Order: sequence, then structure tokens, then C-alpha cells
Amino acid sequence: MKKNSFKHALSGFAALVIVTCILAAVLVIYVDPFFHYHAPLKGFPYLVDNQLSQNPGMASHMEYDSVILGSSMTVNFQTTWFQELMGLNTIKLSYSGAYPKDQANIMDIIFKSDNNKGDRRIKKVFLGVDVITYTGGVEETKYPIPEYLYDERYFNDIKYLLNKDVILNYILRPIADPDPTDLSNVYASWWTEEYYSEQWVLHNYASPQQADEETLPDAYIASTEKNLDINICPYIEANPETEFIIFFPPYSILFWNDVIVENHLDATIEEYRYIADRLNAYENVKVYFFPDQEEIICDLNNYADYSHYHPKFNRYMTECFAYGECLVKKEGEVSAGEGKTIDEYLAHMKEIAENFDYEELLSRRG
Amino acid sequence: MLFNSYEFVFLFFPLTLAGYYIVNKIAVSFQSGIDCAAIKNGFLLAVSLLFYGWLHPEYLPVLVGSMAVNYALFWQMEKRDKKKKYLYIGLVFDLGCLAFFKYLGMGSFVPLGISFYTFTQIAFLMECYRGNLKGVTALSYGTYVSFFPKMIQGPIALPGEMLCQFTGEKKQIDWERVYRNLYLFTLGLFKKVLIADTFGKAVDFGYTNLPALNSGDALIVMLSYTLQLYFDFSGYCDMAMGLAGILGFELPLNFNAPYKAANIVEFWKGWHITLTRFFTKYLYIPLGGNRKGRGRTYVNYLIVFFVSGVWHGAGWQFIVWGMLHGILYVLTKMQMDIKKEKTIKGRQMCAQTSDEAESKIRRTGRKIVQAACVALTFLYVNIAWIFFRAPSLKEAFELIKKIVSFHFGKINWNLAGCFNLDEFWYVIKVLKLDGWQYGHYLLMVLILAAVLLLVFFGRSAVDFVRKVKPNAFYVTLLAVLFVWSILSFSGVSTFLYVNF
Repeated sequence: MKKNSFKHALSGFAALVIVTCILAAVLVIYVDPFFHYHAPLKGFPYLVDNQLSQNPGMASHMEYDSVILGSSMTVNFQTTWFQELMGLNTIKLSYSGAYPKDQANIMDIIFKSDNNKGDRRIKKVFLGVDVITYTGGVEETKYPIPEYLYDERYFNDIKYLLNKDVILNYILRPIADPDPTDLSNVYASWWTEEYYSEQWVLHNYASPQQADEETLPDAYIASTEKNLDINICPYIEANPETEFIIFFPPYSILFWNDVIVENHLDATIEEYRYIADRLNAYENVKVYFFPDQEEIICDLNNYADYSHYHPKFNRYMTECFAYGECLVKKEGEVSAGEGKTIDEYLAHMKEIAENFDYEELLSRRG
Repeated sequence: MLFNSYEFVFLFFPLTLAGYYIVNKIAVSFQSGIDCAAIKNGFLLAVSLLFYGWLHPEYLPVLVGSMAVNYALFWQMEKRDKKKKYLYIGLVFDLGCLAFFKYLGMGSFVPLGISFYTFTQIAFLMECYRGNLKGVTALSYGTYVSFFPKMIQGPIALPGEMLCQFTGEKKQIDWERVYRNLYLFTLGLFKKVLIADTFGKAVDFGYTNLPALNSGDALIVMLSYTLQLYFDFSGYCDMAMGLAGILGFELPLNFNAPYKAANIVEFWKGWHITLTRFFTKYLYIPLGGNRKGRGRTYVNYLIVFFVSGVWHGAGWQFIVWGMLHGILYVLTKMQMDIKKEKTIKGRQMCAQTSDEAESKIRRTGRKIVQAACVALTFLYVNIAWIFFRAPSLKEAFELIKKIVSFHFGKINWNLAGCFNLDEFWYVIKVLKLDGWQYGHYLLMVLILAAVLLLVFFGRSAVDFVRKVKPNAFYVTLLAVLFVWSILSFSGVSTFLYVNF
């Protein structure tokens, strides 16, 4: 009798555990807040705020014909602008601090999705390129990624299905306190207008250590080449029907102060040149160059820190994509009308970087 | 493999349990033919090596090599009269391996659990040298050293208490034993995953943001680590005992209410008991123990604590930690010795005084003194743990400086946030406490208070499961704690996107 009661207790325990685990898993599969199994449910107030966890699902199960990729330089693009100006149904899949490998990971998923199957093709990929991330390792990701959401193994999905955070923060909390994310503006930065001020930027800015030895002009080429070879170019080559819009975002003049103080101006310029030349050689690539936009970069009131510009410049860049401003001319193209060659852009950039009065600017730090 | 992982809970352990049951059955049917203990031990050894090699197969050769060398030495000791030589070779080899991997800058290649399995093997050699072990087979030796519940973090079981269990007769399925040990495992899991890891968040925050802390913050960080370490380690040992128990084995007790101790000597009777036992048997006593005069005894204590500090980690902070304990231990022992002398003398003089005369006031007074002793010991242990956790002496002193600067103020918002577990967000929301200015700090205060109460007044998990009933309430509680822990295994990683 007594022995039996322990056996019953154990069966009761097993039944309770199995039933609760199944219920939890079914709930996660049904709502699927990371879109790992299916497209979003109609009417569910999804919270989308986690790039690492939610981008892969959005890439594979949402409907779109073009994508925005890049670092936090891209989070303030509104996808409605792309609809308005270019008629594109765009999705934003930014990764803050993204390394080239992060882009490769998500492009893998994008081009395998239904949006690129049958007679459907991804029309455009807008890819923001931050040169400094192309000097790292080809297998490096900015943050460790939750592999179970990126691979196709079902076995490790248990980490998603029996996950307190997923259930509490992405299923129950949105139900209790609905505030559905507007996907057009997803991942937008938190800075409000008052942060975009010279005073704030200078207050938080610290010049790096002065480097005495100049970095050789070709110092970054080898690693950049490897990153392009492995993480970027294969996708461009494998998808000739997709147009890749590559753009270099406009960092503030303080970025160039860093470059000068750290003594790698030529190396940085050469890296820009290498990436632009290399990618522009593809027929299905267009390269846009924004770093030398003097009116933008020299006024720190346009920035919230040394590199992050105001969202209005995301709008400006979208307009450029639509109308062809700031486009880098392809080699051998007849030099008619607008557009400059990369050499012309970079010469201008170098001139600004070398001649700017940094001391005067930094003296305003107070 | 970690105990607190999906693959362990859902795959490895259930399969091991089922496999062990089947192997037992098979072993019985073979009883007349081959050695049935060998079949069972072979199975346990195989799953233990699988368990060990799961995450880091590269450490497996080190473990297997170390076991092979030690067993070969045992083999030699058994055959020959001059055992001492082999004991010394063994000690040099084991301690040499430990030093090589743990201290001599092997970088990140520190085989998991090397401190524990090294000591386990030293205990084995010592017992063999003392002539307490005979005819141990390679299989039962391997199983004893690598037995998966205890291999990575102890308890450091002695050969005497384990080997007989590996050679014993067939284990019956005993549902009561399974229930109680499953309960113990679950409590340990909960202690580790929910309590220790929550405090761990606060501790990590504190040590990465030292300059931002005020005295109050620093105190909370110190206290959090004291609690994190206890719940982490004792939780692990509860899990180990529970798992072994479900399989039908008994592991030695490793924790017994250490923070309730009224002095440091008592503390060490309740903290990491098997390590203290190891040092007593194989270091303190060989050094002469208390047989060579009082002065030498105290020096022996200091040596033990010094070695203990070194064993716990590479770095000066561990030595400081060990010596902080050692010095207070010796001082306490001295005071105890003096007191003992006094009472002996006192008794000789007036043997008739009885306890009856002790008034109520005196008893209350004694209780207050006792409570004060517990509090002071706890405080001292807390301070010593700072050295244990800090990445180096510099940070340890920085935290202490923060505390003694008596610069109090509002508790750091992010530090308090570490305690705001998502599962309680709904309660806060429903009670409309989220608008209250102190709402953000509420859970921190409640969790700290509840856990301290548990530490000072609660029963230990081992005690609790000894009496737990198999009724609906406790079964539901068990299931809730189990599922709650499992759902907490993997979170959703968030990173503060600062740069780019």
C-alpha cells in the first residue's frame, strides 16, 4: 500500500510534467513569436525587438520582395518609404554591430525562403556596409547566435519550445499588455530628438589613443577580401536576378577624427575603394557612397553619437536609392550626367578628413 | 553535460536509468556465468564517460589517461611490499597534472572537474597505501572515479564508501527511494537554476560595474555572491545525491546548514564537508594533526587552509581567501582550547553546580549571543567570499572599499533589475505596483529576505525530502518546481546594442 502511493506519486508527477511541457510547446508553436514555424497569426500583437532571435524567422516566414540588411546604421529605415518611393514590399533585418558573417547567415535564410522560390525572386537587397567590420574574421558574429533558430535541425528546437522567456515575454506579456510592433519601424533606435545634439555627442565622445605608427594602406585588404569572398559575393553571384544595393553610411566627422588619431586614414580609404570596386564589378550591384556628405557629417547636431545619424538621413538615403543620387559610377561607364567614380568620392572624403578643424570642434566639449 | 540542460533531463538521464535497469536484469540472468558487477559497472563507466565527453571530448583523454596511470600504480602497490614509492609517484603525477592544467597557464584547456577527480584518485592511492583496499577491479575503479553524478563537482567520495556500492548485489527498484531522490534532484535544480542564477546576475552586474556602485549596492553584491555560491554548489550536490539515489547509490553529504554556524569551525563542519574530510584525512593527520603539540596543530590548520585556497583556484585572491579562513579558524580553535581548559578546571573545583540554576534571563542572553555569533560569522564569511569571486585582488579591495566608504544612496537601478524575474511581472502589474516609486526594488528586497530566511531558518533539502509525503500537494509542488526550472534552462539572449 505504502509503496504503491510512491509509485502513484511518481506517475502523477510524470503526467503533470508531460502535460505541462506539451501545453507549453503547443502554445509556442501556435503563436510562434519568433516565426520559426509559420507566418504571424492574424491579429496577434507580436512584440518584435530581438534581432538575433526574430530575424531568421521573419526572413523565412514573412512575405516580402526586398530586404534591408546592415548594422544599427539601418535600423531607422522605415519600410513604408521603400513602398512609397520604389514600390517595394521591404522587410528590415538589421543586426546591431553586424559582422559580414551575420549578413551571410541571414542571406542564407532569405534566399532559401518562399520569397525566392518558384517564379518569385527577391528584387532588391539593401546592404549597409560598415568598413570596420570587414577587417574581422570570416566566421565571427557580433554576438553568439541562438543556433537553434538558425539551423534546420528540429531536435534543438526544444530550447525554443520550453523557454520561459519566450512564453512570458513574447506570448503572455503581449496578450496582457498588447503593444504590437510596427514592422515598418522595427528595431528603431531609442534616441529621441533631444539626443541629436552636438552637446550630447561631444559629452559622450572620447578621442582614442594616438597611434604613432601609420597603418599601411593595404593593411585591411586581405581580411576584407576574405570576408567578401566568403560572406558577401557568393550571394551576389548565386542570385543574378536580385539587385544588391550596397551603401556606405555617413558617419560623423568624429569617426574620421578617430581614423586620423589612430593613424589609418589611407588604409581605411583603400578599404572603401576595394569594397566599392570589387562589388561594383557585378552587374547586379549598385554602390552608393554617403560618407562624404559634408553638410551631414560635419554638423554633430545630426548625430546621437559619433556614428549614429538622425533618422531623417535614412529617409534621404532611401530617396537617393530611388533617384540615383550618390551612386558610384561603374568602371568604363560613359561619364555622362550625374554620379562620380569611387576615386572621386574618396578623394573628396580624404580632403574633408584631412582638412577638418578637429581641435576647434573638440574644444567645444567644455 | 550539465545537469541543468535539456539533453541531460530529457535524454541522458532517462536513457541511463532505463539502460541501467535493463543491464541489471541482464546481469541477474548471467549470474552464474560472468561477474554481474562487471556488467553494471561497465555500463555506468560507459555512460559516465559519455556524460563527461559530451561537451568537451578533448578533455576525455586526460581523464582516461589519469585513471589508467593511477590504476596501474594501485596494481603495483597491490603486488609489492614497498608501496611508498608508488604512492609518491602517484602523488607527484596527480598533483603534477593538476598543477600543469590548472595553474601553469594552459590557457583555456582546464579539463572539467580535474580538481575533483584528482582528489578522488589521491584518496584512493592513500587508502591503498594504508592497506584498506584490496582486489579492486579496473572497472569498479573507473566507475568510482568517473561516476557521473559526482565527477565534475563532487562530493569527493572516499573509496571506502563507494566501492562497496559498486560491487554490491543487484539494486531493487524502490519507488519511495526514487520519489525522494527525484525530489532532491528537483530541489537542487531549482536552487541552481532559479535562485543561484538570479543572484548570479546581480553579482555579474556588480563586478562589471564596480565604479558605479555605492555602499548599499556593494553590500548587495557581496551578499548575493554568498547566496549564489551556496545555492549553486549545494544545489549541485543535491542534484548529484538525487541522481545517484535514483540509481540506487548513496553519496556523502556535502553541505549541512553552513551559514547557521556560530563560528568558523562550525562553518567548516557544514561547508563542503567532503573536502574538509579529505584534507583532514590526507593532509592534516599526515602532518601530525594535533599530536605534536598545540603550536604545531595551529600551523597544520594554516597549511590546510593555504592548500585549500590554492586548490580552489589559480590566483592570489584564493590564497587570501584561504588564509582569511585559516587565521580565524586558528584563533577560534585557540579560544575554544582555552575555554575547554577553563571548564575542566572549573569542574574540578565545583563539580556540583548544575544547569538548573541557569535563569531564564541567562538563557535569553545566551540566545542573543548565539545569534550575534551567527551574524558575525556570516559577515566574515561574506567578506572572505569577495576574494573568492573577484577576478583579482584589485577588484576585491575595490568592492570592500566601496562598502566601508559608507556612501549610501539609492540602490542601483540595474542591480535591482537583476531580481525582477519575468514571472513576477504579472503579479506586480495586477497589484498595480509598477507605478509605485519603489516598485522596481520590491522583488529585490523580497527575494533577498526570503532566501536569507531560508538559509537561516529553513530545513535543508536533504532533510526536507527525507520526510516529504507522496500526496497531491507535494507531487504538484514537485512538478511545478521541475517544469519551472526546465523552462528556465534557455533564455532569449539580449545584448545591449551600444556600438554600431
